[in-house]
Amino acid sequence: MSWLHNNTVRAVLAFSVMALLLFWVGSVQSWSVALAIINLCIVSAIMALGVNIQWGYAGLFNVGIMGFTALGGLAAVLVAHAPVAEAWRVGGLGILASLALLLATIVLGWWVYQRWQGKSYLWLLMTVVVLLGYVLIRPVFAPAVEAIESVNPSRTGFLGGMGLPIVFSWLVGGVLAACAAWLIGKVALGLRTDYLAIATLGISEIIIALLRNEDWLTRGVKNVTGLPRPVPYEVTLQESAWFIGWVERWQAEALAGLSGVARSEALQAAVVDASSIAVKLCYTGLFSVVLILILSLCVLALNSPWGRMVRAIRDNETAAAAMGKDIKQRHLQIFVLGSAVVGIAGAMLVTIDGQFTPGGYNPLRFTFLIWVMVIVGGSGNNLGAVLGGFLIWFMWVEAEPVGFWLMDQLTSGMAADNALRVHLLDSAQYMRVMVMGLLLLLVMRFSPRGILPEQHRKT
Amino acid sequence: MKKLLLAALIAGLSSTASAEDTIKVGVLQGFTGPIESLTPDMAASAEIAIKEVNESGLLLEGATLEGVRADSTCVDASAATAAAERLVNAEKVAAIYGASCSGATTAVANNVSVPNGVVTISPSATSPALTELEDKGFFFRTAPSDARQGQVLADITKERGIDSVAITYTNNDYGKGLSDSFSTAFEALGGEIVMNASHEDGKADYSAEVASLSAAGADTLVVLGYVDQGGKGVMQSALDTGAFSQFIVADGMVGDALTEAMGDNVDGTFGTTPGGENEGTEKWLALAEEHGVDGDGGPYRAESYDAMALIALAIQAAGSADRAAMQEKMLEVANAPGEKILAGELTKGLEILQKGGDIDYVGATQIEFDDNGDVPGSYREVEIKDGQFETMKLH
Repeated sequence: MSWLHNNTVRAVLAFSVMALLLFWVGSVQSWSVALAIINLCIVSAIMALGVNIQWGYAGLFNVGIMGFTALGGLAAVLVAHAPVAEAWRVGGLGILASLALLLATIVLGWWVYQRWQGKSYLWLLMTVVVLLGYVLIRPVFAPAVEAIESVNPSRTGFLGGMGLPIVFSWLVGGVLAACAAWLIGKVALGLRTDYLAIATLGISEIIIALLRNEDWLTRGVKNVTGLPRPVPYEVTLQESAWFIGWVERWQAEALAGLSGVARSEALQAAVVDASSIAVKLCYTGLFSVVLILILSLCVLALNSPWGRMVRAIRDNETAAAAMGKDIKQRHLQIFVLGSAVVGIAGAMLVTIDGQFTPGGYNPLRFTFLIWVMVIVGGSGNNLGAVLGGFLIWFMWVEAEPVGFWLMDQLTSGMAADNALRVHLLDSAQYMRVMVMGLLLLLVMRFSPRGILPEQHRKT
Repeated sequence: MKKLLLAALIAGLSSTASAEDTIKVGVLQGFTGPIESLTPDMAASAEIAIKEVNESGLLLEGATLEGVRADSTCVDASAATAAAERLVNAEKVAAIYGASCSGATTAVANNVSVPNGVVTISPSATSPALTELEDKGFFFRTAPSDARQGQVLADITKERGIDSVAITYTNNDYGKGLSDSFSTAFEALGGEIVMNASHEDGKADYSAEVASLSAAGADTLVVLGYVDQGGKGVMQSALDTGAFSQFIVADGMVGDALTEAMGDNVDGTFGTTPGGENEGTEKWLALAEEHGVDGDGGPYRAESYDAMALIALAIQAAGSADRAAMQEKMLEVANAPGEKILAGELTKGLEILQKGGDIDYVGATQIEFDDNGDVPGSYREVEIKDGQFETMKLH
């Protein structure tokens, strides 16, 4: 079975199986379900690519993925939500003034740092600057926040966004996550492996806590729902003449034998189905463009001299440093790039959900599941990360119906009210978590470096 | 081996195609995730209604309902959407009973049920934001909005002569929404809120929260949290330090777990919890016991039964499991006028509808939908006396 160790063969085989699985869902369940899964698969794949950049290329153990995903989500709100005019009127000035004061404090701190660098009383001066900033900002910021949050709290109570098309937020999400990553990297990247893991885990929780509590910015736990879409609404399609005409032509054969009420009912059903598929296809198209773009950039980067350098740093930092590579700078660069990709995916996720729910971010789903994708797919291999994203999200969604079917078949010999059968059927939902564990175990046992392992150039 | 399994899977899943006279209904609840301890009994309560309808044999001249379970995970909007998508487009359900948490419910309504025109009735999503959802009449809920409970609780507090309170709420959409509606209502009545602070669930110690709350200077603490989470922790800590002499609680705190933990130390604590004690409730409790479910042992069980019962009755009234047709009948079967139908009387309701009559489903929780698909909800005013919750009156 030596051909199985050929990477190209493995990749072709793995992606064919994946395609077959999705095709199976499409034909057995419904194409609408299959497309919905594919869309989320693409978002997951992009997230996995981001983690792969950090872990696979450079060996940075970042378990704060959730935080960057959420920042991407925040970008979607800030870009796409309509501005709340009333909130801006009562508190906008206060917020802007506090921002200006914050900037002034930072600049002052920077100047003081530069001017008295190396002096023993520097820390005293810095403390004075920070305290001064706090004392000045607090009386401006607090009333503004209170005013904003009391503007119709059950519907708004926050500043809203800029009202721009939500697609821009993908870019903004990336930039926002990159900025946060730069700050975090400056502080935490001096730490190695497990210490970095603990730091990033904690920082991601801090980010979520901020998003949950700064209501004036994010509406906090009250959630932002009904974000505008980049694609048409199903209902709009169902009501537009051109779409109905198109479905009529497309379904002409099925409709031919019918007439009168039966025909219009069948047409109506076909239009609803088609609208649901059309909307999802639009998302698939948009998301695919982003995935292909990021994937090609990743492949080019990994095969470039830069990619070889990064892997050299990963495999032996001391040797790379001896060759004159700036380890710190490269680590920061990688951390920022990977986080930006995760941020883009976070914004896309909120786009397709149509809502931002800060209370919904939990590490199991948004950090560790993404890690499973990278590990199962094959860390260090871009295609592996994409495959992992597809496979794991597919399993995450389909484990439930398949688990139910499996339990049903296993216990089919028993009576309908057999206690064991009832219990097994009732707990089929929990199969999801078990399947994840099982998959991870199997892959680790039979292909420890992932389904598509990292490629080493033989020169 | 892989191929064999796959082939078996394809064969198996395509052979489960249902009989003509089986009507599928989605049971979309958070079976995994933060409220996984509540959902099995909620789903079981809804399935009591399914059983009752099937045993009567009256639905559309002998059709049977079949509940198809799916997991909304409570917190993951994408997974909830995927599950709903499967129910609507693969299982072809006539309607959905669910989802459980407000965030997932909003996602399901916006992304799946409204675009596909599928009636969705949540038994437990209480966020005030759902009232204003643009749902084209497809979204209903049998649990009252938190906006209403805040109002009722404020009225009771004021009636009892309390003018100044501190509030602590669990930091999620339930706690925050309830705290907003309570404080707006209480201030409108001339009350004073000295402090309004959140607490996070799952902490070991709440003395810091209690210290800052008590520093604000009120004797009364309003606890809008969960009895098995931070809410109880805050109360325990407040009792230990003697910071507050009076507690006010909302539905998330009303449970035996509270009185068991605190005993009669918190006598005089009062609060609100959904549900009236009328004929329908008694019938529901008896019916639930018959099926091995503790009807008031946890939240949203009666609401679950009512949600499923309404789906069955709307199907019967429409004369078919057509999604649009049953949506049109929903308000008709739920609201007056018509013969009142209580919990456990579904056979009677189906019979009347079969003969073309009109019914007013009252159920276990006094269902009456307004234009937004919300129920006004009745609340019990409860007070702890000798270490037990007692119902004082209805609101």
